[in-house]
Amino acid sequence: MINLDDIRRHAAGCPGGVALTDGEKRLTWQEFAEAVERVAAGLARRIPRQGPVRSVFLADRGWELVVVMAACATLGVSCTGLDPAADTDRLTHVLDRLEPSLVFTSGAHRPVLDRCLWPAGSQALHILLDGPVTERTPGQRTGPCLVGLPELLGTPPLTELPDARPYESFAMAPDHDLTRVAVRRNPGEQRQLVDLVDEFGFDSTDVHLLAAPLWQQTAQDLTRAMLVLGARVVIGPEQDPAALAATVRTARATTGVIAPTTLSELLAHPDSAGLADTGRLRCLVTPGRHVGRWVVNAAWERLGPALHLAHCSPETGLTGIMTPEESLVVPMRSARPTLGNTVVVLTEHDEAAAPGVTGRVAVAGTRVMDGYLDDDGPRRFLSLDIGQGEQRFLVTGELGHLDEQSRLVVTGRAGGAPLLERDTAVDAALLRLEADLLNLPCLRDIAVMRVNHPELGDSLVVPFVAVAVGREATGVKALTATCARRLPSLATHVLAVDDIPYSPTGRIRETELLDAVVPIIALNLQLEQSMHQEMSS
Amino acid sequence: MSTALDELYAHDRFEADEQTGFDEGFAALERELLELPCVRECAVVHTRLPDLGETVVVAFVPVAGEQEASGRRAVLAACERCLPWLFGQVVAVDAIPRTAAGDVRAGALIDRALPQIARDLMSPVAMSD
Repeated sequence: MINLDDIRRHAAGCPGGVALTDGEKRLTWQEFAEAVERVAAGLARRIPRQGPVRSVFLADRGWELVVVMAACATLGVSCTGLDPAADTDRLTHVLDRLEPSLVFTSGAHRPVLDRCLWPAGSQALHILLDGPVTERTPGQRTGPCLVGLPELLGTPPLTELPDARPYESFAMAPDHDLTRVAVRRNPGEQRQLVDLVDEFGFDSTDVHLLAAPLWQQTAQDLTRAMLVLGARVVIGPEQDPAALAATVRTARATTGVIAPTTLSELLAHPDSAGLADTGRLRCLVTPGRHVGRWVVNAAWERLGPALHLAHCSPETGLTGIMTPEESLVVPMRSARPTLGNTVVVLTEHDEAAAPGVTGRVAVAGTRVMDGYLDDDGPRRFLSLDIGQGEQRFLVTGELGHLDEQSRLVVTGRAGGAPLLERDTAVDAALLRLEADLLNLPCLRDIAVMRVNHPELGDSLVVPFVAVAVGREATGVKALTATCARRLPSLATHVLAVDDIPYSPTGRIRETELLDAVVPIIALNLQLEQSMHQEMSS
Repeated sequence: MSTALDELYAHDRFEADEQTGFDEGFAALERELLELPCVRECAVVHTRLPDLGETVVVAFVPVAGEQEASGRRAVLAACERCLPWLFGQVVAVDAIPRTAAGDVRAGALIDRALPQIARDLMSPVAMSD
């Protein structure tokens, strides 16, 4: 992320200019500099003065996260993003390898981190980004190892910054059943900035939309580059396509980075229809590995010629790009190498293949990681001379070929089709449960849905239409008993409803149904909990 | 020159050819589904299901409610082209759970799609089509 020297430079040049916008919150360059100075001072007092210090964050994007990342960059502390969607085992493995001294998190993600137990965890300082530490829930981390961001923002700035620490940077790299930790010990940010400016023509007049999580390498690289250039960064709202469309329109965003799911939701929303008419958005980058033709066509229609599909990975950063115009006429998963990167396809003998020949894809460039913290995985690097001198290539897990225009076309993965292993006993019970329930005489219609909801956890939600008015209570009893007999390991929430919505082909509209029943179930659970508390007191 | 796959299946050439054919078909199916303009998004998961054994589950998000049947036909046609020897379970869903990088969260997707697969097994959608 941007460091304090660069922020001060922009603050001196344009003190009233807005650096960061996050909803109603606006930080000018001067306020941004002050916040980073104070947070850096607060952190510096809590970490050793010398030696490597590592930090991680598990939090949604927001101005607070940008400030702490800038403070870490100023102190020379690596700040690695953790994927909130990763399971506890993967997160624990990464934390065990990294042994972070600082852990930035938010109230929503704190329970996830509390479930991760790693040997050095008790010594780590946890910093809560979204408010002061007020609660003292039994079992949760409390006391001196947990501080709130407001506490750090109240620290007086340092008179002089501590000595520079050795550079190191990490990234989570999912690898089949495990997540490896890729490491880089040579800074390549300056070179990357030059390449990005040459490639995309970014400058200080741009307004950059951040609509992807900051733990994603490309989102982090582009946001850092835009801030270093002095552009304004606007943080897009999460899970609200209407608000995101309004943000693009009102902020007059010119560039941006967006997660594929967010992009798909935005394009499907009616409010995105007029965004092309604003005529400002010129470069919106999204990871393109899983983007389909509908998204490309809809983006052209609704956003104008703006969508750039990126070929990227945690170990390599942004290695290839497909412009909006080319995306319309080439196969999906195609990319042209970006400046500073070389992409080759390898033969079985680890030599560069001719165009049209399919083989393993290998990448060389300034942002390719040096290696992995754990050495128990397969070696993936090789040195190759393809006419530009000896270069160090990372052999990726992708198969592909170069077409006649030197574009990379990814066609598959080297390990073949991955097989998803599942708990067959639970699956078998779930399949039979459907038949069992439909044979019950106490209901007219039923929907069985397995959800992993923040409030309900991994559970079954079973709305049903009772056979007659007044027979709901007996229906709930019968259904709950049947579910408990078939699937005792899953919590079940049975609820009587008036109607079950179906699509024209007879598919249950799960989102519509869940939107209707989950608030009622959550309310019932709260009432039940408060009743138990009253009885026990 | 023998490849790693050849060494793995050195004892049984037929099995090696079969596995390679499946992998190529699976990759081709992924590519074909990405090219479909009539569905919003698609995901393919290779897994084992009770009663069905090894199977390919294809989940798709229809562009609109009234285009669900046509989207389903297009996805089924792609399955028949790429993996003609395998019956693919095609399921329409409201959303595909993905990571921020776009990778499919396969476990969560099957959890969500399994009740629909159970309903389809009891009353196949193809008959209503």
